[in-house]
Amino acid sequence: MMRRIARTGLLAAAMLAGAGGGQAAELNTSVGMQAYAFSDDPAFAGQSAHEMRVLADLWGNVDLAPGLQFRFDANLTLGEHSFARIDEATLRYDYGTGSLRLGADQHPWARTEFARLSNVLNPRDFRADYEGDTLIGTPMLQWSTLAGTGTIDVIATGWASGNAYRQPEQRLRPSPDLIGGTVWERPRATPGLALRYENSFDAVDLGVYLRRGPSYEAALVPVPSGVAPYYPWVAQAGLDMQVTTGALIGKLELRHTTNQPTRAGGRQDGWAAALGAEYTFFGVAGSDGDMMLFAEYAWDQRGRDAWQIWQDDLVLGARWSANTIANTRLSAGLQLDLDYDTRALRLRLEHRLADGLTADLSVLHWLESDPADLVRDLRKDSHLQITIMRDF
Amino acid sequence: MILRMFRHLSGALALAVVTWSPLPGLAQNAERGLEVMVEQDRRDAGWKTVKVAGTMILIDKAGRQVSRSFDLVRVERANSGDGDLSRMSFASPADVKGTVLLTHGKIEPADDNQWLFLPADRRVRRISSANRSGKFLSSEFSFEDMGGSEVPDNTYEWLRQEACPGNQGLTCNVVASVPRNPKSGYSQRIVWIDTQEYRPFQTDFYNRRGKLEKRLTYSGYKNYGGHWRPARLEMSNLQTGKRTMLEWSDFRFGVDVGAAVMSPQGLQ
Repeated sequence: MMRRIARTGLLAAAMLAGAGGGQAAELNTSVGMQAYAFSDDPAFAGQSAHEMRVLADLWGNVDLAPGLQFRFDANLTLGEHSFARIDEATLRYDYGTGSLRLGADQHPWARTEFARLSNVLNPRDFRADYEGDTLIGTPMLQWSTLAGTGTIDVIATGWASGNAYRQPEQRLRPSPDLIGGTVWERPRATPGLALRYENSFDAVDLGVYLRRGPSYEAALVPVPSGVAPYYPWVAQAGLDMQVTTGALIGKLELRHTTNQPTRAGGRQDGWAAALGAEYTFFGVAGSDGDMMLFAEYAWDQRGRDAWQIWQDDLVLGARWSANTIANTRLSAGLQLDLDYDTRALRLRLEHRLADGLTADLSVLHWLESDPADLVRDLRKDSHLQITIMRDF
Repeated sequence: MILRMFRHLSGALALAVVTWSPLPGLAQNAERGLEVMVEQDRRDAGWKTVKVAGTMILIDKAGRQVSRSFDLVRVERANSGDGDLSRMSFASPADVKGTVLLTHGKIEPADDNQWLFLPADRRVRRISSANRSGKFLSSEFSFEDMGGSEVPDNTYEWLRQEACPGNQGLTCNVVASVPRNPKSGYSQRIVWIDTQEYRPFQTDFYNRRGKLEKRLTYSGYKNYGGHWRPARLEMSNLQTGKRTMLEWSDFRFGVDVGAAVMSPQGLQ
């Protein structure tokens, strides 16, 4: 792990050296602290009760020649379990109607807030957040070009890393038996390919894609020392769209995947979908504040056999935004699994303490946890998380 | 955007008078008000593209200040049935640096199309632009103020001529405009436009209840190849005592703006 951190440091030094060479460069940093407090004792022996981390993010770009730029975004987490992550390290050439990019990059195509079905290209970092919302940059060669009013992306992938999971002694871990190794259906070097078309038609934003490559909805399979993540080789076709009309926003993600593992040990081709709606009441009670009501439903054809937690789940909630300089936002949501007896309450408070200084407080409280549900191992991990970040 | 923003000349009162009054002079005033606005629009047309650096300074009643800086790119669309395109990229404060707001303007009453890129999650999000009267970046400018308006968006009434506010050596036409869109946050706006170069010097904003709520003043005009632009705007909320200053520098007209730059897919 320390070697990965050292590599990140060298990368930063190289980028700064480039910046000092007379080329235009932009360097941004964020540092902060994150602390967890759990309401219960750990479910498994040996897990530490609380955790405090120091977070650092370094991002920016260096202009190398007209149209040619190096972009980077590297993260470092220090604490009991330190780790580094490259979100982006790309050489990018822009030529007016398109661009060529080479390097590790992310493609967060999802439009929904919870299920995020369309984030298919990148492995997930469960060390950063227990749901895997954080994506890991993966090696890609990309060509983007304007096509009419839309954009076509052709992306070749290969040599991807797998998902990153928390250590056995950490809490918020999907399985106490999970080991660090990975099992790939095809070798990591096998080239993958993705095609995407994206456009905006008045009130509608639409993306469609086709891809072949490893699926990062990993199954957990038994290996001699425990269980390991297994990455099947899949073909996927998907659609993601958002309709924005007045104060109402509708979202849809639809995805078909071949060769998906099931929890019963078989394989199944199948569909998954996520539907979301948001409605905002502006200027509530004569104030500058807004109140947004939201609902999101996610479904997977595999049902209880799915290797993902959003297989038949509903989230209902509200978010109040003060719309002041402090940018205070308070969200509350109830997550209901309609297949299992699992329910969770989510709260989040975001607040700018000053220019460049932000605080984020979030609460996850399990109200009920079904023994058959994939989240069962998190049942004792209701927690409060506080993050303070300073941006420079 | 800047000059378009100045065109918030309205006149709910004027519309009401034109509708109710049998006096022929009032119809003439409506025509004269429209003529002033059409001439202002004609004189500023053809700027095609502009890049400018902006700083927004928010000042509360106690005098405390916070500021935000950004680069703005704006593209004029040739079709008069379309609004303009704008891309606002924030440079400071540090926690909003890298945030980009892209707007594809539309003619009222249609809502603009807006997308927001947040560097923290590297996602482009389409956002609702229905909140016309909401505060833009918590400032005294509303989204409606920043979005600009086209001549057909309002009805007009010429009120009088008098010395321009802030420049007594110039004469201004005073014109009232009433937004045609019922979702507007204003009942009317009254604008002072000088008779020589058709530059706005002051706009008074009346809220839906008909009360004078805000005053916008313009200063430091410079001519950039036939396009007049102020270096400084100051919006004062007359009811709360808060103020917001918008300072512009480094105007560059006719710059090359690639199509990809103004597309939502080009935000990443």
